[in-house]
Amino acid sequence: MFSITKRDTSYIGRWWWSLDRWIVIATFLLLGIGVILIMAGSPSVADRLKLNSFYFARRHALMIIPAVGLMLGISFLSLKQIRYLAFAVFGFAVLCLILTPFVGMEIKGARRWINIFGFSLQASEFLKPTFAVVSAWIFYLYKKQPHYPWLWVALGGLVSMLFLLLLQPDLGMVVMISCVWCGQFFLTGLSLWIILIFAIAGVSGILGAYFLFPHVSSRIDRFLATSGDKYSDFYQINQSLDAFANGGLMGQGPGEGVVKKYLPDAHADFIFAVAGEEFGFFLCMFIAMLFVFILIRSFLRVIAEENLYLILSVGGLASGLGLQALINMSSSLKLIPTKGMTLPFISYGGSSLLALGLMMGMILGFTRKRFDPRQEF
Amino acid sequence: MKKHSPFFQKYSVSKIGESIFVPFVKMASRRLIFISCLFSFAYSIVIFRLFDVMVFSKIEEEKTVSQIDTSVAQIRANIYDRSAQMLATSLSTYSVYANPKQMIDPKESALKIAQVFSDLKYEDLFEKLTCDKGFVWIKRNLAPQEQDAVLKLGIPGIYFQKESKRIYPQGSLTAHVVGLVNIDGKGVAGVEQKLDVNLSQGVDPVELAMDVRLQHILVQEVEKSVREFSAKGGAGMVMDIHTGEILAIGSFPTFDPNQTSQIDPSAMFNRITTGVYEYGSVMKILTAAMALELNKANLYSVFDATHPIKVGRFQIKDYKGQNRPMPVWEVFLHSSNIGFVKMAQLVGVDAHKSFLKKMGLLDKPKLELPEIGYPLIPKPWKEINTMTIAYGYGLSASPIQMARAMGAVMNGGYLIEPTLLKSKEGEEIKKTRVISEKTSKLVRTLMRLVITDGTGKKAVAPGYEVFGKTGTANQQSGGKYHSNHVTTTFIGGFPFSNPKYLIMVTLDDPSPTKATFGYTTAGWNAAPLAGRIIRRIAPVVGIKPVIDEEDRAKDHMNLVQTKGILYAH
Repeated sequence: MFSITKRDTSYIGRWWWSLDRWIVIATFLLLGIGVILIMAGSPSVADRLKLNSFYFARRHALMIIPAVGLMLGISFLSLKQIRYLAFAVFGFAVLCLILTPFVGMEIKGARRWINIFGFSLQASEFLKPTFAVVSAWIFYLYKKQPHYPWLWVALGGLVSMLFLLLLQPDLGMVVMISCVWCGQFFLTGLSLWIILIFAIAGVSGILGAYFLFPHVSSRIDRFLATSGDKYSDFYQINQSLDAFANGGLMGQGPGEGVVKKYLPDAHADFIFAVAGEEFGFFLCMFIAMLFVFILIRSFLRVIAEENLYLILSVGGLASGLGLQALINMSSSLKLIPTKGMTLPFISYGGSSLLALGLMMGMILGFTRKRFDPRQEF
Repeated sequence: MKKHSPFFQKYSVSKIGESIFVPFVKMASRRLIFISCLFSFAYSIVIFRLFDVMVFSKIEEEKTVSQIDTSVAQIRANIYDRSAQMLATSLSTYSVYANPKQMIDPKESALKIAQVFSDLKYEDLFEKLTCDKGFVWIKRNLAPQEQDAVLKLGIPGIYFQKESKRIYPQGSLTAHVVGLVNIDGKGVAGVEQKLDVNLSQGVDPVELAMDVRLQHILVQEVEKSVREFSAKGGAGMVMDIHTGEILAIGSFPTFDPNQTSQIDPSAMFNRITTGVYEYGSVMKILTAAMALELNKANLYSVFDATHPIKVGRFQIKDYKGQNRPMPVWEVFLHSSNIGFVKMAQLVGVDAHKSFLKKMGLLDKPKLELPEIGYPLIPKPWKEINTMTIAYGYGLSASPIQMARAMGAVMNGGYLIEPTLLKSKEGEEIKKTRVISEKTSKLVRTLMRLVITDGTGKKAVAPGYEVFGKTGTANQQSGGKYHSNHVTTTFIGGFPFSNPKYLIMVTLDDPSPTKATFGYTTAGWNAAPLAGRIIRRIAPVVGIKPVIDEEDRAKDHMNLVQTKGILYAH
């Protein structure tokens, strides 16, 4: 494979030896598992939509190439370049978010997609990773220049982002961004009293969403309803549980899944159930552990760097990733109400893959070993 | 030095530049580790939940997993005739049903399904698919191509149920006996209903006593006569008098059990087993047998039929009366009502009643059919009832009851329960002696005279020595008898020298025709019908015809007239 010695001081050589290759391996594993699972889960969905059976699988596999390219490309960048990129993409995503209510396509009752050069993009997907970097930078500045009102900038930024996302409406992203922001605030040194206040605000926010948005309340109602009846409205989640149960410890084997055929979102939100049915408990556990691995590994890397900006950035980015995977898995296991959130790297979705490439690229860039601790960022 | 924001925990900021961050970095690192722990904890819950769902919980037995229900439905047993001709069989098919609660797009689904089944309407389907139920049938018993087409639609919430469809290869020919099943495969008529438990267990096929060849002849001829005489209906049966096996049983109008939607319920009425009728003169066979059996008379005892019998305000007359005293054999031959009334009076009410009871006329027969009619018995049973029953009025019984009693008269005196099932080889036939061998033979002798010299001449089947009796009964409606609406019956047996088969035919309200010279009596319609049937079935059942039947008939008459019959026994 590679034959790069540690003495290689070329650009590539330095990149290779400073890169956290474990995270790269974990990411590739997740992407590989994703391709297999989409081949298993998507044909029935595609057939239902009268598309070619492997329409989704093919598109997904094709999108992996630019996503991986994006990831590796960004990991080459210096901290400063990453920050500039993040700010640029963030600005672009915000612009798109402002535009989507006017020019976006409405899918399943939400206006989240915008058509750019014949390719439908979900702007909010790109907002999530770049927002983490932008807010990390603001929080860092707040620490660096305590006499400037950076906190209010951070808060104002969050509120305006939440406003834009609620217009879509994209509640899942609202939760994600709020959590990332709160996590960063927490890392910055938020006093524990304030955390308590935020916790209360969070709970009331969820309650507010429950009463204000009918689709949220119906989701929660359905979750809370005793759904012992197999033929109740709560069809998808019960099918999902059936799929897991059908899989058992070792799974039914590739292509042998049956329940997956009746999972309307087998290729997207419920792909974890497909994994459960066909490959069993061990693969599911492996997937979960890969996410935890990426999360903890990147945390440990930035802790070692002793750099607040890096801690805030990577803390926000990796938490976002870990949280999204956690929410997806918990939904398909009926631990929490269905959230409409995809499983990173594994679920089908072009925008999502590109955004993940962007995010992993930044994580990889941030977690590279810095030989000069005073490297400018 | 600036004052600290109250939002932050207190850290002394003593250094300039990046080094001021050291305590912050330390705290952020600690908090990052705390977040890691939170995540690890949350993921552990997920993994624990995974293990719980995947390993501990089993899918309920309910079949939600497989779209095709492969559980093998118990295939209903076949029904065969006595020579293994198939009368009823089951094809295994699939029926398609929907669970509307699992429908993702009922509108599209209804459109697609309507394209597959030209006989289902989109509106009806849409209504079905949007109803608030967990189960609706879409279509039962699909053809394989239809099933394939539905499978290819790939609509979630559409399922198949393995079922079986009942097929009756003989169609209307055997409809009244075989019966039919409903859409759920449950017997709802005929043998299908009566033997539903046995059939549905699917273990052994049911073999009927019926011979489809005889059945075909019988049904064809009955139908022909019904049409010829514009009768309301007709029926007939052929029975083996030594085993009680019913070889043919037909009732017209009939129905096609394969076309359940087009069945006229009135056509399902089985005239042989469900209908109860007054038979008129046919009943005189039993009156004669009773008088002979109880030694109240012999063939030459004389009964005066000169004058009608007055009972209250009406009188019993003879049809084409001889108006003279006659011996029993002539009373029988001319079917004198007056003679038989006197014969029954001689026997008495109680003996009459118990004789008919013994002959099974007062009890419902035990046939393997659910459609069995109860006899209508006079209550109270007075002298007048005995008088009218003697010549065939006032007691209504089903043809199958009559056949049971007549079988005993013809077969040497044993009452045998009629059966639709084929007797197994070596099986002991349950028989009860009800009259003597001698009485049986004497009554057969009288019945033979009816064919050779009486009203049954048109029932002659040359070579097969038919014996029998005709009966024409005025139909009753609104408490009155109508002489222009009659039930005509012929009951007989063959061959006379070695009786084996009973035949009974009856026509409901036959009309006069040119060929009958305006008559509607049994001798003109039921008797020729019986004759035609016997002529066709006797060769089929393998009876060797006698070549000198006419000579034998003359000898028979001579024997009776010269009282030779007395000495012959």
